[in-house]
Amino acid sequence: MDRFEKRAMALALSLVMMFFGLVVYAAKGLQADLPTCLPNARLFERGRVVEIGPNRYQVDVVAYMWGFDMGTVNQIKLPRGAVVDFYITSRDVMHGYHIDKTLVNLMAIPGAVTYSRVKFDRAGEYQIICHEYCGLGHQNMAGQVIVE
Amino acid sequence: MRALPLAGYLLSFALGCSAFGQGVPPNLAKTLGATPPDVKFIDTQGRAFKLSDLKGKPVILSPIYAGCPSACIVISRSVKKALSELNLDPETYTVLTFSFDPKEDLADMKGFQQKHQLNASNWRVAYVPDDDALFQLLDAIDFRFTYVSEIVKDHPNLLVFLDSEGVIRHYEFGLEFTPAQLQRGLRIARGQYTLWERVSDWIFPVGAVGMLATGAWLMLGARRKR
Repeated sequence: MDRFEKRAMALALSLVMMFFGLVVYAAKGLQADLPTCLPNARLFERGRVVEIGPNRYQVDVVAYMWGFDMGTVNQIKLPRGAVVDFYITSRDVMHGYHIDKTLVNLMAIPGAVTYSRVKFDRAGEYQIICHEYCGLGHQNMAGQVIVE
Repeated sequence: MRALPLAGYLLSFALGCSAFGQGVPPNLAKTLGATPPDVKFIDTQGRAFKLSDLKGKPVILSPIYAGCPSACIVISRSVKKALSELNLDPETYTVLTFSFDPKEDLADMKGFQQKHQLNASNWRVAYVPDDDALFQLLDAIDFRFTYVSEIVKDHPNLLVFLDSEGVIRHYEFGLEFTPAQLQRGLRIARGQYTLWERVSDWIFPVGAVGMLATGAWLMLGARRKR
C-alpha cells in the first residue's frame, strides 16, 4: 500500500473515531436532546401551537411545498424561556426543518412524525429553513420563530 | 436460515414498538440514578405530602391522567391485578399514581380512584397542585406527553421505580403490567441486581474500547510488517 494511501486511511479512521466520540459525548456528557423519529405517533394534518403548561408549548408543524403550517404560515411567536416540543410531518414530499441556533434539525416525512424539544433562553429571531431539496420552490421555504 | 436475521430484526422492532407504545420515549441515560425534585402532592383524601415523605421503601410512580379513555385505565387495573397476584407485604413499598395533566385536580383524581377501586393502604392517588413543580417532576423522569385534544393526550406507558432514598432506579414499559415486571422493578429498586443487569451497562463502553484497541493493534501490526 502506498504510504500516502496509508496516511489518508489513518486520517479517515481518526476522524471517524473523533466523530464517534463527539456523538457519545453529546448524548451522554451534554445530555443533548437528540431528534427522534416517532414511528407510532398519531399523524396530524394541520399545524398549531398549544400551551400545555407554564411556558411549555407544543408546536405541530406540517411542511408542504413550499412552506410550514404551524397554525400560522411560516412564523410563530413564543415567550422567552419557553420549552417547546416540535412535532413535524409533511403533507406531500420530504422536507427538512432546521431552526438556526438550536439543535432542532428534523426531517419532515409524509406519513411519519419526527420530534425535538428545545428551550428558547434568548429573545430574538430564529430562522427556520427547509434543508432537504423538495422541488422548484425549495429555496423560498423558510420561516421564523420570534422569541419575545 | 437466510430469513433468520430478518426475523430477528422484525422481532426486535415489534418488541421495541410494543415496549414504548405511543408518545416520546424517555431518555433513561438522563434519568436513571437521578433524584426527582421533592414536589408537593395532594392525595384523594385532601392530604398534602411530599415525595420525601415516601422515603424508606421503594416507590412505584405511575403517571396517568384521569380523563384518559384507554391506556391509563389498563395500566392502573393491570398494576392492581399484578400486585394482588404477587401478594407482597404492603408495608414494603408504595404505589403513587399521579396526574401528569396540569388541568386535573382533586375531583378528577378522586373520580379515577373510585372508578377503578385503587383502595390499597399503600396506594396513593394524587395530583401536583403547582404546575411548575409538576413539570419539574415530569422532566426529572423524562415523561413527555403529546396534546392531541382536550380529551386525548398521547403518552408513554410506563412505571418508574424509586429506591428507598427516592432515586430513580428502573423503568418498566407496557400497557398491561405483569407480576414479573413489578417484581423485577421492586427487586431493582431494592438494589438486588442480577449478574446480567450489573454488566449490561458496561457492554457498550467495553465494546467501544475493544473496537478502538483492535483498530490500533491492526494499524500497529501493519506498520511493523512494513
